Amino acid sequence: MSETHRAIRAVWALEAGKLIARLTRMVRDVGLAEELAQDALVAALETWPQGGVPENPGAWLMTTAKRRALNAIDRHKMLDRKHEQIGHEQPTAHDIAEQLETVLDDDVGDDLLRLVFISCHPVLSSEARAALTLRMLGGLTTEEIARAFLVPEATIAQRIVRAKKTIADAQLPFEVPRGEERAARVSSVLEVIYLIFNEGYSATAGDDLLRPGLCDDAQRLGRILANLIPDDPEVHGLAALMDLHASRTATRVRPTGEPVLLLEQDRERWDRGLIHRGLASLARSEALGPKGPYALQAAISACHARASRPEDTDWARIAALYRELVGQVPSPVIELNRAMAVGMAHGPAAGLVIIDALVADGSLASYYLLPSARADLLMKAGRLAEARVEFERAAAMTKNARERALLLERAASC
Amino acid sequence: MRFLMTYHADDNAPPTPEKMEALGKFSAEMAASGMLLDTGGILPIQLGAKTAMKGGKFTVTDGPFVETKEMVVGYAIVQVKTKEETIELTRRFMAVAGDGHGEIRQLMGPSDGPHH
Repeated sequence: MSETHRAIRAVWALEAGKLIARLTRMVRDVGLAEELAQDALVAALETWPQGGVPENPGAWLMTTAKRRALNAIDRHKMLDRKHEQIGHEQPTAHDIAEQLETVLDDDVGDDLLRLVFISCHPVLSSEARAALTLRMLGGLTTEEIARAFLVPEATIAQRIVRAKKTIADAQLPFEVPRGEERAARVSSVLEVIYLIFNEGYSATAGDDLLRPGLCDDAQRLGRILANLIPDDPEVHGLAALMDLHASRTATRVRPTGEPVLLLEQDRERWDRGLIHRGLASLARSEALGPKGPYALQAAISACHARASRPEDTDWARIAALYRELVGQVPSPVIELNRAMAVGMAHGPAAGLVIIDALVADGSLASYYLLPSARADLLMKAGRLAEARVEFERAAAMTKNARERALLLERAASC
Repeated sequence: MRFLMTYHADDNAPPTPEKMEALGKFSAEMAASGMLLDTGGILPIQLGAKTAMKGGKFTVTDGPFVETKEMVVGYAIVQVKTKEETIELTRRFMAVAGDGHGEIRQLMGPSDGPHH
């Protein structure tokens, strides 16, 4: 890639979301808007290497896309006339030209927020939402998204095409949801961002445990959202959660690739800047209202961040936060985490009571962290033979090669 | 990856109200981009000190620093995916801030070795 090409990609990372958001308002079709924006990018890739990056690259892209929008609308009108379909709500070239005067100058925030809501619409699958959000708001290429999710480029391309078609077929409005719908839609957006973060933070497939590029993307999306919806406690809760988790990135994996458990991480190397930011976002969230699921998880993560040594961890508080979390989001996985915290706060026997109830319940039968957690508590309770069996069971269940090696090592140490 | 950007203005006159407004608008845009982690100003060296450790001997120099013009240095820390993104942000900032010079320095991070 030439220097100018890299410069163009940099401009794109900054401008893609704004450009697509504004174009969608004009042409009232997110799929078409995205194509027009891509056309403008192609035009930049063709002309900037010779003429250099323009003084105001965002405006250049907008003007180019606008010209193409007008052409597209003209073509559309001709087709419409041919098919005698005049009368439906297609904006005219004149409407658009008029819109442009105001759109270029006003605050793009509202359009951006509308774009966020449409990319994360619950009518789309969560995979489609993630791909669409990274492409339209993060300015990632299909190839970059494919690499990040370890799937073929054609799969992502197809996922995006289908998502755009779904949006068009469902005639999703380009709007900020209000009233009762709003909370559910915000949580759908948060879910997408957290999914992207987790894909980077705890890779579910492959031999690498971390793909930090996706974490960067998710954290950026989280900050963009905190700027667009500054009054929502959960938006700041998620931003806090991601920063606090990301503060441990350097210590979570050994140079050789093995994962390092939270209590064995070198806390000196946790990122103070990210912890500071995370705690500040958490405080903002708490000031805005009662804790929702993301703020609760951030508060749990903050308990670890505040403890300079593992033995300083306030496990009783963590156990109480988990109890609150499981009350809001009934989930056996959260209950499992609560069991571990209770085990730390009140002894392994107390934790095992909760875990054994989960084993009896059966809903986590194929989840390797259940035997792994049970093994951990059994080991602490001095029941080594049982612990070894459980570690081996967990090792046989995980798909991640690094995790498996770690579990077998722990089995051997019992 | 994270970068620290610094900026020294050539002209030390206090900014005009127009420039203040443009700078305010720029920092709102930076915040909206999701890339900005922190930003602020560093006051002139006259208010601080120079320090050194030479052969185990620690020295503090309180000034006066005749060789240094009194100036405020602006800084920003950003989280981006390429150096070029930082360059583009800097270009936009300087277009608003005016003549001056700066540095872009990558901060060490989990996946950013010095030769990365």
